[in-house]
Amino acid sequence: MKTVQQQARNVYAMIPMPMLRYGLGIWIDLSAFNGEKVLKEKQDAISEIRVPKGVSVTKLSSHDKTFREKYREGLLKHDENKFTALLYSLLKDATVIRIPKGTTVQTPIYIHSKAHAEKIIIIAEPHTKITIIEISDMPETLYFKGQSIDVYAEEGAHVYFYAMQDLDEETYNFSIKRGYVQSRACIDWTDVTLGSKVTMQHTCTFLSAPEAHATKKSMFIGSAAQQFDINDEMIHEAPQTKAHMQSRGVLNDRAKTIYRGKIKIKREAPQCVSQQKADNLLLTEYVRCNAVPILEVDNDNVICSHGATFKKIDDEQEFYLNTRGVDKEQAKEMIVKGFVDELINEIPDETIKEKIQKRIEEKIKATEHVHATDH
Amino acid sequence: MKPEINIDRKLYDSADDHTPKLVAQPGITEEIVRMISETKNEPEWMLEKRLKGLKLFFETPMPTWGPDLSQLDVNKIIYFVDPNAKETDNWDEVPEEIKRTFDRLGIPEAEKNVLAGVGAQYDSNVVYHNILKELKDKGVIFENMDVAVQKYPELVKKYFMTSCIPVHDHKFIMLHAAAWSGGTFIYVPKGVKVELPLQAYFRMNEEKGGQFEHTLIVVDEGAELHYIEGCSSPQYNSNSLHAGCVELHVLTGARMRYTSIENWSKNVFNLNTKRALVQRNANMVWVNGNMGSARTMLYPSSVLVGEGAHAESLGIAFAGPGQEQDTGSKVVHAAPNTTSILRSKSISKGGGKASYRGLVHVAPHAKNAKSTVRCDALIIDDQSSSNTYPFMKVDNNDMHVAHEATVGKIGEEELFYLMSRGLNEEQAMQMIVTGFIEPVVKALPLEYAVELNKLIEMEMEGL
Repeated sequence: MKTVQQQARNVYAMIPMPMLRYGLGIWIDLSAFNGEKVLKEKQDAISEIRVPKGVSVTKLSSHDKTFREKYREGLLKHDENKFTALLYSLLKDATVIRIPKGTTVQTPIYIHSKAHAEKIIIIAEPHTKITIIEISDMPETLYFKGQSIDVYAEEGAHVYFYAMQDLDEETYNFSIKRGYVQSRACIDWTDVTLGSKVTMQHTCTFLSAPEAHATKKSMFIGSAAQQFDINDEMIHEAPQTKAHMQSRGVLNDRAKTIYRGKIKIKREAPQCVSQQKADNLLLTEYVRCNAVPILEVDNDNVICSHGATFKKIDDEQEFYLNTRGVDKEQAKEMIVKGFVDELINEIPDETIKEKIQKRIEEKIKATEHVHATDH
Repeated sequence: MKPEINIDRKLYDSADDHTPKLVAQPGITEEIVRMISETKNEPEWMLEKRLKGLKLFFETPMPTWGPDLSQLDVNKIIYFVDPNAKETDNWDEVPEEIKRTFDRLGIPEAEKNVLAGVGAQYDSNVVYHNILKELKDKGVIFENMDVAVQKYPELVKKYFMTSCIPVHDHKFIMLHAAAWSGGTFIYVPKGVKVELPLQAYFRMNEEKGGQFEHTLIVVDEGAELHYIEGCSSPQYNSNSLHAGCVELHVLTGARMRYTSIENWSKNVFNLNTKRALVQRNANMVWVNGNMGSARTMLYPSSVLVGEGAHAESLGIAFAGPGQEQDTGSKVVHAAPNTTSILRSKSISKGGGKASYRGLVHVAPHAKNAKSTVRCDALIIDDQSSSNTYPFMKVDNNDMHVAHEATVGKIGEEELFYLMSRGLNEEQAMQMIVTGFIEPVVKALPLEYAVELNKLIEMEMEGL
């Protein structure tokens, strides 16, 4: 890993900080971020990984050379941008989670993500079925958290990946998840984004063989001055692949979100079905909510659509609840919970669901200072 | 039975045998800019604007997004071609070979029947201009832009590349500011309703030519106007550039409809800029058809600056072999209670690439703004592409914004149904495509609707 780390450091030093400007005045403010500080600080926390019987967890360095070369930068190269370079500069090793052929287990794999920077490679061998729950909710300030997770769903494998991010509000969170889906395999991603100061969360799924399938659900609740840059991508590389993306965002206080959802259907991938839908609920007049859904279609034999909506809490719904004796704050809570419920109710862990519900309540409360400064 | 398609693309693609009076050297230099200004005997402030544009153009890099412009060499373009014809209001005085072109395009005929006024531009200069007398009496100004600079300096100085599209807007607007020539100036006084449309036709004839016409329209309070713009050029082997600029000022309570059919030949880079400033309770409607050109980058924009302003946009783009149509509508809701409806249709065929690139921006104080966007793309074969890039930027919560887009091919069931009724495949396809574009075609004046339908039929031929 040493050489990649060294190369990454060189790349990091060479390329300028990205502007994160997506055109037409849509951008994320990164001016306060100090990458040098991240490189200097020594942080040794490691992530806890709990796996059911039959699933192996190893270090990448313990594998042979061919394996290391195949998977080390398998789906994410160190020189893609300044942040990938920064992430690889911090990585000493990577973790490999391997689900052997034919394994189907009910008990989920738990990843309690505590590391400052980490790379996890998940290989679901043919005809496996596995649930992964990833939680990053370190209470202390990390300042920077970098994460790269590569999921390989081999032929006929089915991977359910649930992630909840609730980092403290001083941390810059940089997370790249990539999935590589083989024939008749499937990855179902669910992301719940609650914490951090700035989050760049990119999830890209390659539907690389016929009849591969993927879904992506994103739920985010931004409050205070949080900034979220959420980018979901589905790349249809083979015929008869299917994908579905759905996002629900709630914005409170002065939160700023950019949701980008991209469907790319290549020329060599006919008979694909792909959909994307992004809905946003805006709670205060000071939020900044952006969406750039993208379709890139190079094939005529497709069914492809996308949509995006922006709205505030419906007066009629609120009024109805008021007439039933529910006060304004409670009504807001009910409406918000109802809005995101569809995306989180499948999480197979009651404790996490309860925690999310509790955080929703905290995050959507009207904060006094916002109103005080602007009126 | 083959459908009757008697329209011939030669009508647009063949060049005229016309010798211009003056052809500038290729490339843009300060000398050429000064020459253009001098030929037109322009006031000092206009020359300053041109030179400012030129300076900015040299300093600004080429855009890095959008379609591939590598085939466009701005140094090979001829920036000024004087067609050797004085502007006139009588078709008989227009030089024979130029008149023949416009005759073929049916402009004088249309003028007699359905229009209130016509302007015709040939390369860099306007050769014909006329308006109904009763409109002139009501104070409606319909002039060649060059003439307007001399005749109405105050109005022009106030509106020309100031608040709507400033000189520094983007690289090709800078170039336009430096090299602009001809175009239309329209002023409709308070409360005057122009019932019949006014039309301008722009024809680019010179090889490697550039056309930079400037359209400035001011519709004063409570007035109404429908303006139609048509464009075409002959087919050459070398590339031409069209970088026009359309500035519309729709004042309080006014209504403006801007219809434009751009049918440039397939060697033209069409990098056009169109924007409307829409004031309180005013109404702006864009209807756009983009059929021709090698590359089109055109995003008609409405900036809703007054309370209660409304904008609509209907667009259709057709991308055939070798073409890239990068179009879309932009709307900025900059005031409360503003509304917009954007609708776009695109067809790509034979390796063509149609992209929708749009923007909906709701500014922080634009309370109760509402916007709906709908894009549909039809891909005819597996060689063609369709992209959709809508940008939505919402900066307050008292609004409603929705966007929807679909991409697909002609449904096999629809096709099967029509073929079971005795149509052959080609006819069935044409019928479906005609149905697909109907919402846009319906918004066009009759002759244009017929022309558009014929053009699409022609492009769809030989599937």
